[in-house]
Amino acid sequence: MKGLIYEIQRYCVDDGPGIRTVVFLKGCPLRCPWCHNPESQDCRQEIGVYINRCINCMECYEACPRDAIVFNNGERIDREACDRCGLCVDVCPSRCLVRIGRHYEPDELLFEILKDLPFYKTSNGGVTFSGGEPIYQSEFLREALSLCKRKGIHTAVETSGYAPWEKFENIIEDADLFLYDLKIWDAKLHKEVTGGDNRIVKENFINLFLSLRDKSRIIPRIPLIPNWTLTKSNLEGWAKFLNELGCREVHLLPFHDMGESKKAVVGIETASLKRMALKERPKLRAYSTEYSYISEIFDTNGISVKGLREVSPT
Amino acid sequence: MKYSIKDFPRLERLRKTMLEADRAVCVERARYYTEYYTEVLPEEEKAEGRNIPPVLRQARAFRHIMTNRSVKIFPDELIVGSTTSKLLGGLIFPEFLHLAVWPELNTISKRKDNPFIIEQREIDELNDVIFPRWMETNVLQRAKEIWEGTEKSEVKVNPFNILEKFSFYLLSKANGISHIAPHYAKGIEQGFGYIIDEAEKKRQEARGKRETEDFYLAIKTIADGIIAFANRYSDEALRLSEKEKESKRKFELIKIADICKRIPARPARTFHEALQSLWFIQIALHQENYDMGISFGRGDQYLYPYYKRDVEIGILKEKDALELLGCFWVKSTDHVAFTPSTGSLFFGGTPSNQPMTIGGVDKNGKDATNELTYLMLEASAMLGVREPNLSARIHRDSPQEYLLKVAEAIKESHGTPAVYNDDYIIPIVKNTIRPSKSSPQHPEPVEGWGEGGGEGVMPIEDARDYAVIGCVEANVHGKTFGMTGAALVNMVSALDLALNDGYYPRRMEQVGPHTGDPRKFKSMDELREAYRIQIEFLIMNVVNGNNTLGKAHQELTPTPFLSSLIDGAMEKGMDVTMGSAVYNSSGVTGMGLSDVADSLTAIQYLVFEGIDLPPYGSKGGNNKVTMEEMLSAVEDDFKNNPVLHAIIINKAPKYGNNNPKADANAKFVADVFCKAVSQYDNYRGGKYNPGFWTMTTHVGWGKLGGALPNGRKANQYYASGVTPAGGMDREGPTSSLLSAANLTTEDITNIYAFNQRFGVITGNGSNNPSLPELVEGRGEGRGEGDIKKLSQLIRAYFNEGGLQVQFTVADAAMLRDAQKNPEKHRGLIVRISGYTAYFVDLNQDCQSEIIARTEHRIIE
Ligand code: SF4
Ligand code: SF4
Repeated sequence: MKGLIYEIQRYCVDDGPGIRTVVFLKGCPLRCPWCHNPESQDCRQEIGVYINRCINCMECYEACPRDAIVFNNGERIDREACDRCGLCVDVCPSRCLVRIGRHYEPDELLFEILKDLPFYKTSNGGVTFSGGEPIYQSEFLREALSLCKRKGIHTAVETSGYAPWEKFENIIEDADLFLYDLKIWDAKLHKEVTGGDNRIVKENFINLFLSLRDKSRIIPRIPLIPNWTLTKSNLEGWAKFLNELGCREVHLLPFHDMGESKKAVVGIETASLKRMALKERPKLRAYSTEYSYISEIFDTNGISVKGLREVSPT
Repeated sequence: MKYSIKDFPRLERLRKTMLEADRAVCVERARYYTEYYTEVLPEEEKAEGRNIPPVLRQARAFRHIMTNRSVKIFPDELIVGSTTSKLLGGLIFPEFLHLAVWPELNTISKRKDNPFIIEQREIDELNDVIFPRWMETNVLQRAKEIWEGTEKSEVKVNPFNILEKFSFYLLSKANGISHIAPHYAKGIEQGFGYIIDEAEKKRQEARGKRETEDFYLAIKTIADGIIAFANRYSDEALRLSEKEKESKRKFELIKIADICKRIPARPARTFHEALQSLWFIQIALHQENYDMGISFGRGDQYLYPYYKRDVEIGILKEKDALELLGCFWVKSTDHVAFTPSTGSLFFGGTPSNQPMTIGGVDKNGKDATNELTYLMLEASAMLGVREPNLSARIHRDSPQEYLLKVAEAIKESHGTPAVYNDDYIIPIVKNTIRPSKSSPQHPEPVEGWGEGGGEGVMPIEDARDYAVIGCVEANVHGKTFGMTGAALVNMVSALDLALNDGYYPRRMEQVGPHTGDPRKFKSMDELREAYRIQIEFLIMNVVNGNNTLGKAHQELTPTPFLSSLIDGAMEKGMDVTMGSAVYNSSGVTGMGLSDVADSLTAIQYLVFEGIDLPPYGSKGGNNKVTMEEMLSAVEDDFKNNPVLHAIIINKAPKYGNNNPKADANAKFVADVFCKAVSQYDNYRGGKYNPGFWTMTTHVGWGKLGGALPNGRKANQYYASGVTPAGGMDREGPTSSLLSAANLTTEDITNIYAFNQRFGVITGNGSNNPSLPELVEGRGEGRGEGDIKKLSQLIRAYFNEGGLQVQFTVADAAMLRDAQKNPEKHRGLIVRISGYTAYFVDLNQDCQSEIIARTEHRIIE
């Protein structure tokens, strides 16, 4: 069975131990407005447009069978008319039009992953499956993971936790490490913002945590998104949750708005982030007391924030 | 790192003064050299009743320089002696190519790139006295005469005619002897007093053999010269100490006077003496041989006994040792190669380029790192000066601590040290000499090896004792006369010839042999064969030219000082230019590997195969591009075919992506060159060694070159060394490194330079982001940190067979800012192709080339 992959990134250093190759699987049931990879959301192939590469050769126009090529205001494709056949991509000489998402057989993917084997060896690195939500393509994921395992490659899965529990069970043996995202604690807000029910996320986390004998195989990660996840009550919610479960470690992820520029590529309306107050990035001069509460929250719950440098208040 | 420059106010001052100093021309060396030949030599010949032989007159000219040139000690210095009479100076070698600056004397102080201050009286002296003396008798001129005298009927081409067309190759022997690592330790440990005694003893033994006797006389003469020079420094230090009010400095000067009285005449006893002796030797070498690639060898090895002893008996603390090293580091930047204005394109940043090799294995194959290895890394990271060009050897069992320190130094200094793979280079070094016909390796005579080729088998102990020479090359230090940078060849010009039936469009003449009209080629093999023939043609001329220049050197400019420090010369009683060194070889380097390779790939896939590529637009469903279409697009710089240009850039496979198809052509280009070069023997009976490093010739030649089938437009830079073309290696650093490791490295006996640029490297083992950084989105390097990952990246690349890699750590924004505000980035060092230079010293083309290099991200 084939999997739909939209990118393979090499020499990644922050998605699990060592030097890693990250395989991005396409498709995600959630719609977080801060998504770093908006091109990962749609579960089908898409046509990406990098408009500043266009050399106006009109090849795409002549190739398109559906009259979906447009030449106005920086756009190139009428997404309504386009059926994603990809003929325009084939002729576009400039990589202005690109196919986002390519089908791989598991062993074909393994071949790509194995290319960087020398680097995994010296760094105890390996492969990380990310997305999208990789568990969305769970059969393919299971096959790919087990192929990697058989080659002795360390495997990690980055997940939003938003998937039926059986699908986790399906891969639990072959994934060495789960990097598990926790976002919004409040169920109502979670639903409103991401479109998903966070009870599933919580339950899966509990199940996974309890079924893994080696607790270091799961690392909860909280992206720090101002106004949504980066609030006192939200972090408190998660900290207590983890504490009660007996989880002693959390990763905090920095927030970048890199996803914004990529939205145009796949023609997603650039509504969300800007309107949603995210432009008010917190301005921290030094270790402002305003944010010292973050450490306190985790401290009081006996959870260490991994990979964070202590800075004395100045 | 353990120390910061803030811990060393003296070094901070020395560094600042040197960085801010203006380059100035120094005529002293040229003056006394010329004065000896015009005024002293005729007198001597009259008195002695004979023609003084070349080696002896060169020795006497050297002594004349050393006893007359000015001696200067600058404030704060602990290591004294200047290469020129200026704080930051350029030497002049009128007997070599410096005649080329003659027409530029009035403009060099005003030229845009690398201006040199020159005073009117200096210009007058050069115009009226110095240069006219050498017009007729310089080395290049003599070589041309020799060639004309010996021209053989079967070789119709004059290598110097092609040389003068400038586009095909450069022969650096016309500039003098360079690219060599002498036996410094001998000078430091034994002292030149001992060398005098040894020479005298051998002279007695050789009584009656006039030539040999003269050689030993020459050795005694140069030893006298360097000792006299040091004594004059001793006197100067004493004189200054008497005037000095401040008691601490007064004491320092008295100590300096003591040291200079002792060394290099007698053996050094302390670390300070050893460093001072090393520096005097370097100055001396630079009065005899032009300042490019005279390499310090394995400094952390031969200086270590002094350091260790001093620390053990309690007269030296680590911090003081580092200060001394720092003084030496800054001092070693006191000269810059003085080049004509074309030179700043081909050898940008005017380096002298003196690599100091650290780490690696010792002669027994055990790890050789010691405390001094780490201190040298500290010195380079802390000072960020362009010399010495620190070169770190790494082997299978190099300690983790060492690898991390190397990675950290790379990050701190933006690019030093470059790293070298012992596990692969040691066998290569063994292979830099010809096994003799009777060697156990090759019991049968091997066809194609010249008569003089037999050198025997290099013991593994020697191969393990290699040092990095010049940019990236590797020779057994102290034993090899390797001239590793003898010639630089423009491989792109061979492709141009192959695509034009031997005709060179840029000069509108038939230069190479006829290899057929490429429009009629039926297969890729025909094109490859045409290219191979053109490369063979260029290399044959390079070899003819270099061998002839070698003979001119033997006649005009033997190098007795260098001979005193290369094993074999003293034993055989013969100058090293005659082939007396233990090992003899020459190095030839090829420029344009990735441009030629990608051009071949583009033609292969678009013209001959058309596979793996989408239809060639709507222009008639045919997958193929005709050769005619390709060549005319190249000819008019793709102006009328932007679509083809875009297809080539975006869709043809490129070297540097771990793509077997594209890498196969890179391998082909390397193999053809290696085979062409290594079949020849040089004039000293040694082997020619092929390599790929480019100084900034990839910028210089790029500026002269037309468009290429790989989509590079006319007058743009080529890629450096074996580095993939900028922006074309899109699969991240791991793929790029693996592509280079895929080359047939065992044949690349003159090594290669591989450039990688990283935007920023953040964090280290303990340096994770702080909470505010995280919240602001600046948090990177959680967990183990990128320093460690960088060391693991290097480790893996070496396991796969990569020979060398060097990093420039600076993002495009920083480099652009340095272009705009050079004063803010005076000390920003970057990697060229082998050596380091200050970014702001580069001309704009060279700067742009570095900015255009693929910027690898460290991906979170
Ligand atoms: S993908 Fe197909 S339908 Fe869509 S624009 Fe391209 S050619 Fe037209
Ligand atoms: S084919 Fe590509 S480059 Fe040409 S007009 Fe269409 S989008 Fe632009």
